[in-house]
Amino acid sequence: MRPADNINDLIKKLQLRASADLDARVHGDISEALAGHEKPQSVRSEPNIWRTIMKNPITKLAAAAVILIAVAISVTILDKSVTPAYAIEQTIEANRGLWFIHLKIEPSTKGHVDEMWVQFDDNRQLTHLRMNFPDKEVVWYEGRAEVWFKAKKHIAVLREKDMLARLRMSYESFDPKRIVEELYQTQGSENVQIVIQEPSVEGEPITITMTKKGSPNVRAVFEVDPETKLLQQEERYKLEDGEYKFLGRTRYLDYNNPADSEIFVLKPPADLIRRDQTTQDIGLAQGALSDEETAAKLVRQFVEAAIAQDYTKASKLIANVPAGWVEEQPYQGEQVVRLISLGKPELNAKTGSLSVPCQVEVEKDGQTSVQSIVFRVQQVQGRSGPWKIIDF
Amino acid sequence: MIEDELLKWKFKSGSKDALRRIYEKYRNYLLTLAMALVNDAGLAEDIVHDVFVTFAQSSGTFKLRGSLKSYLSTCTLNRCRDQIRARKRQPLSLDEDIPMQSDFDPPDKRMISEEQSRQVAGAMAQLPYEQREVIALHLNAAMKLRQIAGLQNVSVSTIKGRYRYGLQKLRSALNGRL
Repeated sequence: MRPADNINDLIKKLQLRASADLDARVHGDISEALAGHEKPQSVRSEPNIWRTIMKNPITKLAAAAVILIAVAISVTILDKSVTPAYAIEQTIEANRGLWFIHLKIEPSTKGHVDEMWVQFDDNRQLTHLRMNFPDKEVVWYEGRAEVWFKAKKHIAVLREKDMLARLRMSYESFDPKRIVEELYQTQGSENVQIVIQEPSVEGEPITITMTKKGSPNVRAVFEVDPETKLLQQEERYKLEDGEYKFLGRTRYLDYNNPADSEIFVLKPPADLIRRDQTTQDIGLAQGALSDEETAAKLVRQFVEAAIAQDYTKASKLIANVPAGWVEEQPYQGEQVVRLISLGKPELNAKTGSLSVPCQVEVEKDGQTSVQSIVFRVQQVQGRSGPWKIIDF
Repeated sequence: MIEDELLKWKFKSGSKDALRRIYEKYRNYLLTLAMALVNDAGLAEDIVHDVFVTFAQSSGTFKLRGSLKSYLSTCTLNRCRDQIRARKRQPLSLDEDIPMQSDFDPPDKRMISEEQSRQVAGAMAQLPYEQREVIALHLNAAMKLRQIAGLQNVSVSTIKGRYRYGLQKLRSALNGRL
């Protein structure tokens, strides 16, 4: 059976997630819209039926008896100490009050974040964010980002909205509020089984196991604090060869408790090079070219600079690296000798970056080979700045 | 659903929390539906935004006996149709990048191919709007064909034809790429 024969499933699998921008817009505008429809308090008081009834001494006595009976019944009910069963809505409700989250991702993987701290304002807008990677630390607040490249002993200072969009995307994958709401929404789906297990021993977490059948067959196991109803942990598994293989875990370590008041301040050694992108001339100016033409030209210039071994120029075309960075890279004796082809740049609408595929001829120890590389390029500091290479 | 009945009642009384809860409950679903119809992420977000703002403005006069989900889907559908008519767009090429994301992230452990999602969404965009609408409403919004016939104001057999031919075109378009 060819893949597209299962077209119904492919279409059903298309899922889009609302961005934080959309959330902020909607929350702001619906508040305004509702405020315009608030029902004014009536100035004229309604006839007080209760006062009329209570004027009669017999009804006073009857009312008192009813109240006493109601109290007696509720005391009896409370005395039985019935604990309501857990429902995911309780965690959704508990998440509403979150303004600070600290989480850790395991296992630590090169190139991916392994610890995060985030802080929000009252409208759930991100105000501070810190991400620790194995090789760098990133802090974002008040419209600026600092990236400490530990191995290169260098800090880049950035001031661009696109950086925030990428950081926010990374955070949203681990956002407990989003994760639990999506879990809630999948209840009742035909391909999804959700099993909630209340703890048998006091102090143990509530466990929610979500199994999604189909392709791929995946499982997530959530642990919820029975007291706070907040998410403590998510573990991810994938079915392989008949068994669920462990893929990773996110642990939610702190909620609303920033233990370190300076957690959003980087503390690198004093002798680091500081490269402030807000003032330095880097990248390629767009001029009259289209985005795609600029992206292709940028990559061509970079490759040509690498061929000419002009590493200073090559480094200037890459974001967040000091002069000479290209030269320092351990390319293991490989030298780019020829640009074979440049593919058509493709836009990522969500981040605004373009991917530019290319093929280069590389020489090593007298032997040549062809390598395919995909460069990702983006404008610096919003839509009016120069373009730069952000990844390859 | 009982929760929806409670939310409707609270919303009618002007509860901001109820409206927020309705938004959080249905935003992704409506966004996916809008995206399937207009194939433009920014426009899809605008449509969902407008649906909820108009919904909020109706709180004082709101009367709904049926399903909240169906009501919001219909509002979204109507706005998508308005946009399609206003823009008179040509079908987008398959190279248009669609920000579909796996519904089981995180990015370091991708379960569903973004490339595959992108191509499916791109192929959907190539369909005539009526066929695309039938497929999106039936598969993404889980509407019955009879309901869709009512919305498109055509017979059920016409809807079945649009659905069948639309899927055939998608299969042909995608079997060369997946």
